[in-house]
Formats: sequence, structure tokens, C-alpha cells
Amino acid sequence: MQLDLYSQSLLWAFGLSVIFGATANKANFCTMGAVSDWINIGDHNRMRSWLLAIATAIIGVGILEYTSSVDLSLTTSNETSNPPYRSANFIWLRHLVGGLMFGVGMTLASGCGNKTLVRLGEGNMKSLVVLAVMGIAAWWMLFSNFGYRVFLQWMLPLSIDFSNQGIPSQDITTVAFGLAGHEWGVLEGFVVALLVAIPLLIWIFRAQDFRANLELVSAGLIIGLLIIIGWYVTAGPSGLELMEELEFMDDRPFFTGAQSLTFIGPTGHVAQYVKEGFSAVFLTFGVATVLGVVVGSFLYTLLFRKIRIEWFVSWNDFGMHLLGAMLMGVGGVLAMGCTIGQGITGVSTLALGSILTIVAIIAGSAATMKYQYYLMMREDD
Amino acid sequence: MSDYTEKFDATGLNCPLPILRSKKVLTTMNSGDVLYVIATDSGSVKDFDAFCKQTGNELLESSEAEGKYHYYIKKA
Repeated sequence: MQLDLYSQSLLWAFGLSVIFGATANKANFCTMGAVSDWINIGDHNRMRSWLLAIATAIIGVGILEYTSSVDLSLTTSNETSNPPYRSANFIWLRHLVGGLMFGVGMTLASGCGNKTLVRLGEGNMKSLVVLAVMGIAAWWMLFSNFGYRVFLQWMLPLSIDFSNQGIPSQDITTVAFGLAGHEWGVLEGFVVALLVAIPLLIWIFRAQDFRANLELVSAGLIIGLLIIIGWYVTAGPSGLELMEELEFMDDRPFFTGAQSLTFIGPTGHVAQYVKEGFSAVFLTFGVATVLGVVVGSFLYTLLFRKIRIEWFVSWNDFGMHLLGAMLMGVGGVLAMGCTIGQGITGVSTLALGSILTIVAIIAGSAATMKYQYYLMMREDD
Repeated sequence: MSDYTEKFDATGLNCPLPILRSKKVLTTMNSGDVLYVIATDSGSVKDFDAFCKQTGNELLESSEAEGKYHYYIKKA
């Protein structure tokens, strides 16, 4: 049986995400946990693992672009990518505000979008509620004009549109060379990717206890590699062929184009897929990734751990998770991605917005943890 | 192990709350005292291991029984 290209891309998304879910479950890979370990404990190992995934993805994408194996110029347009990480219009406020909201949200909801899916696969029913609320909030941002009216309406006039200066993309190579008035090409892009990734790798592997932690080292490498494969599937030769085919389809699926793994927008896709009675046009790459992570985490738990059914311990616990889920759904779509979608997939394109988003997410999460601890210390006063 | 100075039940709480609340309880304890923590978050096993390594507190015991995780932490 020969599968059509679209079905193949969905299978790739599902397969990559199954591996992602199992890997994150096994290694306790968690971006909010990485911030927590750093802020609350002073331990950097999970942060190094996250950064290793980022550095791996940056180098991999750099190689793919240098060898012309992918066309990431597609990520400058909403029509050819999902989301357009490298859009020439740098709406910096969406990344700053969305990232901060997401950082606060993931701390209140016990983990980012991906961790929510991993926990759901372990049997945590709190995560089912978080997923539902996050999905509805993301749906609201994606499929109504709420996001425009509340946020983008006032953020757009303050954006920096590089195309006014003849700069076609917001990736740091294009912006730096464009502003300096120099010519640039794939070689310059690859050199800049190495200049970013190599110092990261030096810092990551400088710690002996991290080097000895094979579980976190391999998790970082595997997750970085999965992101690279995702890009190759959607922006490589078969992805380009698929985009040509889609032009002629009567029922063209939504949210197609160049993309790799991301988890907040896709929870909104899941909400739309359910709302539309499981219509095939809403069975997106993102829906496949959401399902894949839950299945991967569930399979790992089934084989190597015990399913633990968990529920909220108090109304306060319920309220905090609900608020966190809403902030993640709204903030994640506003920022055009989560700790994985912007934090690894987006940063691998070296887009300014992705870099700003990840900094804002970490700042929002760290500030929330500091505030939570401050409140705890005052509880008995 | 049954000897402890303080007990903190983190059942049902997820990261980062078990660590944050344990940190708070430890601030009220004296050096050499033992904090007994009960948790259900599977991530807490690695969290408490890293917490003790970084803070210098001694993780006397880390075990799992009847679906719960049990930690005995001796304050440095």
C-alpha cells in the first residue's frame, strides 16, 4: 500500500512524537523542571539537557540549510509554514508578553505543554484537565479574533518590520548581515549557527556530573535530533512536493507547510478537530504530535513504570492548574510556541522572536517560583 | 526508617511544589534534624536527589512503597 505524502507526514509526526514522549518520560526531561532545578536547587543538569537539544537542533538545521536539504525561507510566511518563525515582521511584544504568560502558566500548571502530555501518559488526570483548558484557550487564540482584539491590535504598530529595510527574514544572520549592508548566503548562516551552538556545547559539557549523566545527555541529543528530522520531513524534498500537491487539493488540510515539533498551537488543533467531528482537514501535523507524545509516554509507563492515577488535592491546586493552563494556551499561541515549539524548534532557525520567547518564558517561570516561595515563607506570619 | 523530626506530606503535589515546600520546612529545622517527605510525583525521585546533592543536606533514604515515594533528609 502506497501512502500519500500527507499521510506520510502525519505518520512521521506521530512516530517522532512517540519517541519524544518516551524519551521525556524516561529522562524526566522537563523545561519547567530545568528552570526549577536552577532557581530552587542550583542544579543545572536539566537546563544543560534542554540546551543540548537546542544546540543539536541549531547545528542540524545549519547543516540542512548549508547543504540545501531544506528550504527554511518558507518559514518567513504564514502561507508556507506553521508558525512563520522567520517572518520579516518582528512583532517583539507578542514574544515578550506571550513568553512571560507562558512561563507563569507552566509553573502554575506543573509543567509546559509537552510535560502535560507526558504526565497524561503516566495517568495524571490533572493533566487531562490542563490539556482541555489549554486546548480551548489555544483554540480561542487561533480560531477567533480574540488574539487580534486583545493583543495584536496594539502590538502590531509597535513591531519592527525588517522588510522595510530590504531584510527578508528575522533570523540573526540575515538581520546582522542585512543591517551591515553585506551579502550573505548559506555559508554565513552555517558559520553563525556554529558560533551560537559551540559556546553552548562548551558550557553544557563543562560540567562533569552532566557528562556522566547519560540519560540526560542522550535525551538532549535525541530530542534535538527529532526536531531536525521534523524539519527535514516538512521542509525537505518530500515536504516541498507535498506543498505542491496541496495546491490542487479540494479539501486542503489546515496548518500545513514547513514545521517541526511544537505543542501549544496543536492543542488548539485538537480542540478544532474534536469540534468539527474529527474532520480529516483538521487532522494536522500538530494533532499527530500531541497524540504521539501521550502514546509514547503511556507506552513507556506501561512497560517500565506504574500507571499512577492522580487528581487535584485541593480547590487551590485545581484553580492554580486552571489558571496556568489558560495562560499557557493564550501565551503559547501569542508567542507562537512553547518551550519546545519556540524553545527548540524556533531557536533552531535562529529567529529573533524565538530567542526572545525562550528568555521571556524562563524569566516568567523563575519569577513565579520566587514569588511562590516568598508567599510560602509568609504563610505563617 | 522511622525516626524523624518533622514530616511533610506532599501527596498529590507536582513539581516544583514538593521541593519548594520542603525547602521551607527545612528552614525551620536545626542542623542534624531529619525531615520525612511523602510524595507521589514520579519526578520527585530525581528532584530530591539533586536537591540534597546541591544543598549539602543528606538524603538518608529514598524509597517507594504502596505507590508513594518516601524521603528522609538530614539537614546539614
